[in-house]
Amino acid sequence: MDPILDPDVELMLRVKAGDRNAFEMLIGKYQRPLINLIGRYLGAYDDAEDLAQEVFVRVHRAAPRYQPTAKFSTWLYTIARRLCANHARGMALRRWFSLSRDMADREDDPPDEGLDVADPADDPSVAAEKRQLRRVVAQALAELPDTLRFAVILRRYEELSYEEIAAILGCSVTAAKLRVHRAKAVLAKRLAPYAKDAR
Amino acid sequence: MTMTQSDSPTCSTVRAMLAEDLKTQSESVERHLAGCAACRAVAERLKSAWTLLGTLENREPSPRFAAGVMAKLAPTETHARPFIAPWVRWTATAAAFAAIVVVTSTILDRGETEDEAASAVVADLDLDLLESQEMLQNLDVIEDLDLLLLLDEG
Repeated sequence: MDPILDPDVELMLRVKAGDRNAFEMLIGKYQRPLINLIGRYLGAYDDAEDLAQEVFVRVHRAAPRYQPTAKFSTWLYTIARRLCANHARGMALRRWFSLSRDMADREDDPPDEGLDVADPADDPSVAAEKRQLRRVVAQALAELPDTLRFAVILRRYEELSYEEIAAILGCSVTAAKLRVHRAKAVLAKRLAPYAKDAR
Repeated sequence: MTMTQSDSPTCSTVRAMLAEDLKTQSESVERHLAGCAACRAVAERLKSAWTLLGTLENREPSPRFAAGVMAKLAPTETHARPFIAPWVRWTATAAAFAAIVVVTSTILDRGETEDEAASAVVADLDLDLLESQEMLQNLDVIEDLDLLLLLDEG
């Protein structure tokens, strides 16, 4: 899409001009996908809202220099990707330096149970099965290498085109396709025992 | 791309095409799947994995998310950036380059000269990023350094 035709670019240009209401509209539109993108990438929602807020703070601070060279969402998700990578790197460094024994002990813990969204209509045994399945899926996603994980999340949950994914990841369209394909293959192998639970 | 009856795709081609798009498949792929149990199994696993990813449902933001963003902006909510003299920015940039050269030389340890290492770093780094003090503060250059290490291992 031509950035000029993107309504969110128009909103961002209004933010650049000092329009606070436009900024709040962008938050309203992107807070949910952003939080879920970050939560799925990190495998936990503990820090997802904080990081998502930080993304919007970066957007606001960059407003005076904003130049619409791509879709707004491409720019937003690029900022999110960098923050996620920095956050993940920080977590890895903390574990490596053993600054927190709890962090190291949590390495083998299952992903955040906050990923669970219980359906009140389910009876307890069904709810428990669904919860376990979600844990397995979240774990499989978390085990993907960073580059594959972000790509497949953008493709599966945001339904972005390979061109958009490539722009966000800073790679070629071919590389974006390869990353998604590889992620699918890895996930298919990892989740094969649970194929019967797929509906 | 259209394929005639005689251009039956191989299993490897079909499996690559299966990973391409799970919503629709070409007639040639469907024909191949009808006659190949192994590829049907692959298709089923890919489809199941894709469906299982859907079990990670969306979470709703907390009611105070937007207010939290505005609160984080409040202390520095201004469109006017502090003035930074160009020579200060360039000095900071040069210092960052020097630090990267030292770290890269130490980590790579390939007997390269400092000039060669610096050239490799410079060639792959986005200079626009380094000119942004905000990026320096957020150490985004480390991401490029990691990529350099990966390329070196490859």
